[in-house]
Amino acid sequence: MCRAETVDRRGDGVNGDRVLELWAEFTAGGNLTPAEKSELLGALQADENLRRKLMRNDEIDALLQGSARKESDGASFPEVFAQRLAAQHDATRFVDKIRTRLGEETLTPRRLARHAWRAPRGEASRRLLLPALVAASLLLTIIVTMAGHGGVKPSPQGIERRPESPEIAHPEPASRPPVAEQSSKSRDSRPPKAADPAPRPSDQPDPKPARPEPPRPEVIPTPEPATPREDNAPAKPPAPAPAVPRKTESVAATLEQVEGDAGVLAGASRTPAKAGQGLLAGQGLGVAGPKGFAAVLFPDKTRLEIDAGTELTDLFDVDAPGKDARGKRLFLKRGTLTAAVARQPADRPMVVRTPHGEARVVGTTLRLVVEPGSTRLEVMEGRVQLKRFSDGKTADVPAGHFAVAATGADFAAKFIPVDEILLLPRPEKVKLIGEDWKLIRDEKAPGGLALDVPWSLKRLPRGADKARHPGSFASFTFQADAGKDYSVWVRGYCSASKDRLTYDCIGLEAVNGEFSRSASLFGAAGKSFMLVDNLAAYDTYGWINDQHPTTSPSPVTVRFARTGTQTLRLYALEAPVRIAAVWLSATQRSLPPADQEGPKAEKK
Amino acid sequence: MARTAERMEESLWVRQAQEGSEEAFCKLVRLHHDSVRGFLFRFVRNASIMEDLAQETFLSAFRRIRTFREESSLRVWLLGIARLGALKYLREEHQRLSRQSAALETAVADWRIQTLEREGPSDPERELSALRQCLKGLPPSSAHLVAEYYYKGHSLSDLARSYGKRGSAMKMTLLRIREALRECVEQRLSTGEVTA
Repeated sequence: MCRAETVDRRGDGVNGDRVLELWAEFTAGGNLTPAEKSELLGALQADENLRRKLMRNDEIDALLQGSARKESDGASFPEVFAQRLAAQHDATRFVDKIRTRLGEETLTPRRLARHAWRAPRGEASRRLLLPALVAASLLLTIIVTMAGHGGVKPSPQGIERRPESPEIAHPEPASRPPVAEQSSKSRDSRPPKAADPAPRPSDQPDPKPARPEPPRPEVIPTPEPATPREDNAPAKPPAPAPAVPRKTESVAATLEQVEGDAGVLAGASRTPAKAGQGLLAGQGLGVAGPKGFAAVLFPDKTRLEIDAGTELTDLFDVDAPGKDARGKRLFLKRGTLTAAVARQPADRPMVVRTPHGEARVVGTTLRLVVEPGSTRLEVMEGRVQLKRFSDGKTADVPAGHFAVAATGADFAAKFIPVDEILLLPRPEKVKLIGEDWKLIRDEKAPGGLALDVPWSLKRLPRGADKARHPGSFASFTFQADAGKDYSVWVRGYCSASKDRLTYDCIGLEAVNGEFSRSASLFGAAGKSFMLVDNLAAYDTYGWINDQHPTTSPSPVTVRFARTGTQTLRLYALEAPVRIAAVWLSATQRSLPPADQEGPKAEKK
Repeated sequence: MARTAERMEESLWVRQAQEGSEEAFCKLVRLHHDSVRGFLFRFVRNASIMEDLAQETFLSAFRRIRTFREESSLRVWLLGIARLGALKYLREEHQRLSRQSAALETAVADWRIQTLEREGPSDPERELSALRQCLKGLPPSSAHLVAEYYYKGHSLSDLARSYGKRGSAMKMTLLRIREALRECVEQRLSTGEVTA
């Protein structure tokens, strides 16, 4: 073909075929020695014509690869873009609302009284408005940046910190996340991540409240969690660790939680694992038995959850900077691993290898399931590159997608079907806007946390005005499919001791979704809203659809306009109420028993 | 007729997008993402980074869509935005590689920057169309190898085993096939022998 053209045309004694061989090796990702690289560079610099041809040859390679990729995975690109655009749009609207809210509130006497500045009204407004706008602009930047990595993430800072109150000041890590949130059918399984900045209107300085806080509901205090703490320090072991690391060996991570039969693997030995124990670099973990479970926490808050029947080895944290420094890595021999990976250095991604491939992660939430013959990767947040060892091919797997590395199988990323979505109020999952909702400890709630609207708010403004000015709400973000009818089940109750029927109603808003029965209370916007009424039917947690007992033979369902990230907001219309969960189900069509905490199929 | 209808449809979506319709803009994304991604991948030889740059290209285009004037082609306008993104990335990559003293990689990045600065945005759809025609003209054994490697996803080591060759020989064979394709594509582009 072009052999005759390229042989020794430069006349410098370097054989043209030799240059082609080196270039072919270089562009195919092969390992050239420094001497070979230098030889190739010299040859290319000496012959501009040859260099252009080879660069163009490389572009033909790109064109061929691009044309092959176009036929395999191009369909998902527009969907991912639509999600990003929506996330950005939501962020902009959110900031606009904050601006509006701040602008409105700075003019109210109450707001002015709550600030230490005792300036005349007009001046106070200006002084408050400027920092508010600066804060809002910063917030927009942060949210847009975060949206680029899988959407706006809830923040532990979304919870007001009042040490004297039962409200939680730290993320709740101690209890095992409900299994429903870890299922492949539920994309909302996001174990705690590093704290994300998400300022709220209430983050404005408030050094001197002008009036006392309203009385708060009495909540049974729960023990302080052992791990993790708000700083980035590794968890402090609550009990003496069975295997104290030697000073010369580095601790890669800490065993945050252990249930059932779990053992630390070091070579051929297996010693029982205990919570709080350090895992040394190079060690592994085996979890067995029907109730086996372990959670591993790295110093940067990257968290791994290991299910029963799982064996992982060769666990390392990020190496100290240096020539051969590598990132977090481990080998997942078999079983199921769910990981919430904090942002890693760009040049040192976390690498999870399996017998069939490897996943390279910069920062995301994912699950890997290794079975004989295949490795399945599910990505809940961010984007992961999966490499298949059998042929060296890679697949980019975005949020809400999965891919299977197995010889001969289709290797394209596909949407994860979602049938069951259990939304639990956890600091990292729910965003609280305004002052209506608080996150509190409640041992009766699954996971020990609940959303609470206290007594003081009593009957709240309702109706169309609330829909137009939704200034205060609790917001969940999760993944769901388009065109699927999800029954809406709310687990809650009215916590009032008298006049219960007057104070027992909340509203739900599905952003980009429609309910099968609209809430006329909200006027034109009704299709996106539903009422959940008669929470007074329960004095402890029970399931409710639109009313309890439901007045319709079929429950209210919600249907989303597009597959991907969705937002559901809870508005307090009548209080006091307490909510422990919202369950969206494509299968549960009848009222679940009060003692059932979520999707049955998800239980292990 | 079909082409005219497509243009009219695109023109309608552009106007709707300029009035703020996200839905209309997403339709434009569906029309042009292959071109933008193909163009970016030519210079950014990393699929993950290419996807990110393509997303950024369309987000940037959405923000600026009101400035687009229909006297030029939307695809060319989008490729212009993509080109700026690719140049920015390549310059950063060039700096990073030069800090690592990776002389060959730095030089290759530099040559890609020069190509991009010199040539401006080419039309990947036209190149792809020419490539498809050239693929049909390959000898059957070469066409089979291209299909096995690029479209069916077989690895070089697997192919080397089945062809009874060394891996380096397979790489050379593929390089020579690409060279033939390069000549054919350039010939067709220069003489206008490209059919859609």
